[in-house]
Amino acid sequence: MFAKIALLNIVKHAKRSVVVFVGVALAVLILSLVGGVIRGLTDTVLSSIIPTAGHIVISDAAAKDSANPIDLKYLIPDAQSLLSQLKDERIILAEPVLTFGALLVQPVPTDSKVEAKNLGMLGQGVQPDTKFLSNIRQGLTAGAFLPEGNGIVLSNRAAKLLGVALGGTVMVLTSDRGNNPWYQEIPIKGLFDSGSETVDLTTFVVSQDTARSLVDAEGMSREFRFLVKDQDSAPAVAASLQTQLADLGYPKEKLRVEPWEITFSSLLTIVQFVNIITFIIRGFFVIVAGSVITNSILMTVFERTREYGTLRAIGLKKRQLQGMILTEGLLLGALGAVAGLILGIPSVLLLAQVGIDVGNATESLGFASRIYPSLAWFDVLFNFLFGTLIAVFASVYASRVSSRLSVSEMLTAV
Amino acid sequence: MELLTIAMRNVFRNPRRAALNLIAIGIVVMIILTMKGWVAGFGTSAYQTTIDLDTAHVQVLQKDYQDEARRLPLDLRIKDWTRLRDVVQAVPGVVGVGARLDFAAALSNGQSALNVSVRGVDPEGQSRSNTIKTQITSGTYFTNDNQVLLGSGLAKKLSLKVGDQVFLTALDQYGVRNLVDGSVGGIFTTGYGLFDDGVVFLTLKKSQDALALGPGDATRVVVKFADGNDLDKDVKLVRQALEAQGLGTAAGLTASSWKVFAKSLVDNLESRIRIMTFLMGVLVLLVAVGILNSMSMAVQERFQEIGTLRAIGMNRRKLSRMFLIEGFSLGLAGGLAGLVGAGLLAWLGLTFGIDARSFLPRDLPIPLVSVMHPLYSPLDFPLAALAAALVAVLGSILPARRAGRMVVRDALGSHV
Repeated sequence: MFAKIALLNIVKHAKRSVVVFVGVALAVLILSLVGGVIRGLTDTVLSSIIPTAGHIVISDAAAKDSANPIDLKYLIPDAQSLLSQLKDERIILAEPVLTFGALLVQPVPTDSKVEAKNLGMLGQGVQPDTKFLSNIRQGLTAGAFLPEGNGIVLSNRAAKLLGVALGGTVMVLTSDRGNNPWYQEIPIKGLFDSGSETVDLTTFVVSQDTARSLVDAEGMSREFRFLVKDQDSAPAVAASLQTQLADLGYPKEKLRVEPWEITFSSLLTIVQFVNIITFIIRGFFVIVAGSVITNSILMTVFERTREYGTLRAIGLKKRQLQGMILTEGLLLGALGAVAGLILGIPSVLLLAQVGIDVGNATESLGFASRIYPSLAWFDVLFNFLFGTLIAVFASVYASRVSSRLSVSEMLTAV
Repeated sequence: MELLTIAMRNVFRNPRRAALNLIAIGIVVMIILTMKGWVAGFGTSAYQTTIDLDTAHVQVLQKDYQDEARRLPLDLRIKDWTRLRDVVQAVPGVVGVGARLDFAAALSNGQSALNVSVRGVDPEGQSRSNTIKTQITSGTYFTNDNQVLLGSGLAKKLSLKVGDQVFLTALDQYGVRNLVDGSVGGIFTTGYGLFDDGVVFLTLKKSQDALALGPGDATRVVVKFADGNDLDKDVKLVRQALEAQGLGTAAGLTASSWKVFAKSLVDNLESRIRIMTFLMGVLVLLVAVGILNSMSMAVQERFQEIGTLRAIGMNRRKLSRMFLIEGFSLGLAGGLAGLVGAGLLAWLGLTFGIDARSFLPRDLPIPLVSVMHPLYSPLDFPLAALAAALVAVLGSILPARRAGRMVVRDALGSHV
């Protein structure tokens, strides 16, 4: 019955209702958009990191804090043999990777007066059928990804800077483990656009065998990368792997096992920082919206004081009156929240398709320049409840204030 | 005056409603002022640091250099930097012009080596266009060509101190690997992680020798102005000076503002400003809708009063104005309340600041060299209160018009 009366009242006092409705709708819209962007940023970070580096990384314990983490003294010997001994049913993928520093040089004839262009980059020596580096594999624009384990894959940007092209070759200069200079002229088999300028200009890919021959590191790898079934289990799986390594004669002082939250703690710190800022902004939004909505509901209630007095005079109890006001607030809040979601959900879904261009702001951190907001049904439910509750709390306050008046005071109110 | 008195009194006739309006307006004013202050503070600090440490205000380079900057192209260099310097130094407002030769090298202490970014600079021009000289914490600025300046992070990684011998290996313009040695003359600490951990300064002559280049060779000429507030004008002046001497487009050279060389920082700040502007716009809209509603209610409550005022001679225009002034007063009062909160937050920010370096990664490509403080101009606060008042006036327009259109007989006879 209250719902019917509440609905009738909402329609009858449409002008007042609209303000509450718009206030709740705007608040829910903003919460949806901001929440979608933040979730998208987090997803972008995770989707940039995890497919490239995995959930867990095993590497030489001394490398991370050393002056030069890519020094060739920090390699894992007998990599394949060691990797094959590490087991955990939660692991779905395990691969060795050899990263190394190199200078890529444009091949020019020795008697040429043209100065050879060069570019310092980081090489990733991987299995030709690697499931990692998805930003590169999926960003292939020409050629193939290490066909038959041969060749080099580099970005279109790097190729342009070096003046080389698909089908041509590039010289890869390195220093091997004895610090002797070494080079190979390698055919360019694939070109990619990863979506991140930083990745494009700093990374090239060769097969692990090619990498090992370039740095004279037969059988060695820089690190092992793992993917697990459930991302949240990474710390537990990492602990299990650390124990297995210790049993195999590699204590944590020799080989360190890190879940991705530790490896990329600095990036996650930035995301958390952004989350805190937006949480504060959303909090202020809720206070302002709550203030406007409370004001509107109060005015709506006080406008009808005589009407309520009449109802009380014919037998409506205080509790029932409060219930009626609350129901109206609940309905208005729910309708406003639904309207906010009707605007907010398509907006987030649209932005999820086209993305938000933040320019170089995220590229310098290794991500693409576009953030794609994403929608989680938990957020939808949360925003709906939030919008509804703002109106409900405002109604609770209004109903308490109005119920303090006696029947005669209500009937004679102006 | 009489209208103002009546309006001011009416604002607080309904204390509860007034309080809720004041809260909404006050919080929005407080948020907008605080955010504006911090964004301005961060931007000014980061921009100024970038200019002081890295880019100066304007740079002159080969027109294709920036497109290929990632490979540090020695083939796209300036061939007579001293002539450029003489021309640019004569531009009004210029206080420093320096040459720079950028290249990558491996820095070694004899036992381990690190890849570093090297800047070969002319010491005198550098000291006028860059603040590194003032940030040397150990040793001295260049006193001879054999000296190397390096960041404290780099010195720590390689366990180097002033006086230690170092070796630099780089590819010269012919692609030949050259080794030069030097001694650590000074160690600097800028607070900017990327700089302190990865940049080495050599004299221009030493760098030219290492790269088999001529004495006139440099990759860029950096220009510092006394007051870099009008960047477009500064860039234009430099370009005009170059063109006048045939050193502009005809010579394949171009002058650009520092923002071209700090794109990620500029994009970072501008995207923040866009997002903040959008959110603040929605908040202001919300407040305006709230005021509209509140003033409508005020009009409705005072039908009879309006009728009485009209009956005793107040004309429609004056009546509408009264409600507009009421809205203005409400907005002003809310704005002033917001200034109290904003003032407190401003005082806290200006007194204590935030040292973002303590919780953000060291290798973030944003120069946070010191504790950040917000930045306000003296007009920010009064303008914010005035803006709040104007938004409230906007929200009051429709209700004020409605009040003005009321028929006296209907207003006097109404029972709300």
